[in-house]
Amino acid sequence: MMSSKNFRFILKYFLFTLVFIMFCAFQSSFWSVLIDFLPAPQLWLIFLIYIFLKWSGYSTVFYAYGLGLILIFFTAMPLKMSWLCLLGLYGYTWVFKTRIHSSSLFLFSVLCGSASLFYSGFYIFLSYFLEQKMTSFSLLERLLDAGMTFLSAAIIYLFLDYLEHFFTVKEAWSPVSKDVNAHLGEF
Amino acid sequence: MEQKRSTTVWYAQPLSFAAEMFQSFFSYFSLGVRGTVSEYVNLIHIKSENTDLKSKMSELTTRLKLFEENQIELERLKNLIDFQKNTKMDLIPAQVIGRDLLPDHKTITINKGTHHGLKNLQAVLTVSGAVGYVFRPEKFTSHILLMTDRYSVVDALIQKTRSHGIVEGQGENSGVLQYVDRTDDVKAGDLIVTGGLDNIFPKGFPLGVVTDVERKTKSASLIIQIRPVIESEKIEEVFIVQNAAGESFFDKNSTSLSDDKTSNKNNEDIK
Repeated sequence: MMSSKNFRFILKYFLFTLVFIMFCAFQSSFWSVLIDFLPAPQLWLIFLIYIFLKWSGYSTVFYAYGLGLILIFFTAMPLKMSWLCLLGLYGYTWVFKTRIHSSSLFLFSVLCGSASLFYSGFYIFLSYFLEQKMTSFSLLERLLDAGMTFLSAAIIYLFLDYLEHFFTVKEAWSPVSKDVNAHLGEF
Repeated sequence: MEQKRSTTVWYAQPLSFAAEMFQSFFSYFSLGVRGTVSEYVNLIHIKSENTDLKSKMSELTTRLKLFEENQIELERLKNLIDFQKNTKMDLIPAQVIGRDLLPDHKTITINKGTHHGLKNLQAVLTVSGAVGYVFRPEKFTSHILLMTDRYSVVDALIQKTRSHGIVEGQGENSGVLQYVDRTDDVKAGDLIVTGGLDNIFPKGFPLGVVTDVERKTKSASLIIQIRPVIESEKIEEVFIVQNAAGESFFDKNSTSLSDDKTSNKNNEDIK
């Protein structure tokens, strides 16, 4: 029999995968078709930054590889490029995560905007070495992409945080936690 | 009977004058007030009428816009149906439902898939030119690699000289025609059509127009920049070629071109 914790874990990953697919579909089929005069915010990238930043453990890395697999259903990008880009994004987020300790929504937006620019640069770098024909680059287009990503990051964060709230394990508060005991035990 | 005197006695004249004056004053005043009030009332009526007219006008403008939009759509669909009727090819009409997620690639997603008979590497056209080809058919949708994508390669032909080359996408809304002999007489404005050797596109279907020709001194072939006849950002409906059935547009295009030239010549003769 599956425990409640495991069930919640699987449900969380399943639901977030659905949300990721929904974001990709919204970006490629709704925004790009209806609002074609303005570049679409990179919702998939904001989603990835969110999970890289907030989730921890090896499962997240494997989950990201799974998302890379989903990503190629919405683009002509090959799987190798998708996985390498996600790896690059993971590294970029990790650098931020280990150096800046803030939960500010503005900083998250800045991280997403800068990650969008980083992704563009990293993709061009990979394309130069791995592909026969390098990708073209329009600075204005990339800057607009990053700007739109920056602007929509806060809303997406709040939405994802609200979703994750349902899967958070609420342990009963106790004045002396196990960790504190362990810490005291060292002395 | 003696008639009464109508003339005012001398001592009553100032009173009569004052009464006349006040009467006249109040008469003018009442007329003024009546006029102002009626103008005001009229203004209120005009205002409400104006509001009604404005709302009616905006409603009519919206209807007119809708009508114009419908007319354009009707014209477009009529063209599509005419094209489908007048060709020998088996075509499957499809609607564009999505575009590529990333700016590095140029693809579109259509609402037809393997369930509707689509296969990999089938040509995708519109009435006015080639769009690309099916590269990832799913059950109910398919991804189309546009000819402007840098992964796309299409066999092409210069209509005027009939020289073969290969059109490669460049990512932006442009392509490059390669492997054309440097001695060929190619100029900006020449039409590039599909070559048909790739077994994807029917021969002679418009691909693009030459925008620039580069002749490198140490190269045996020309580098020809082309602009696709189709603006990929504006495509809404496409056709997937299920069976080209030996359809060749080369003769049609040549005929239409020669017809144009003949008519132009005739016009010049008339002048």
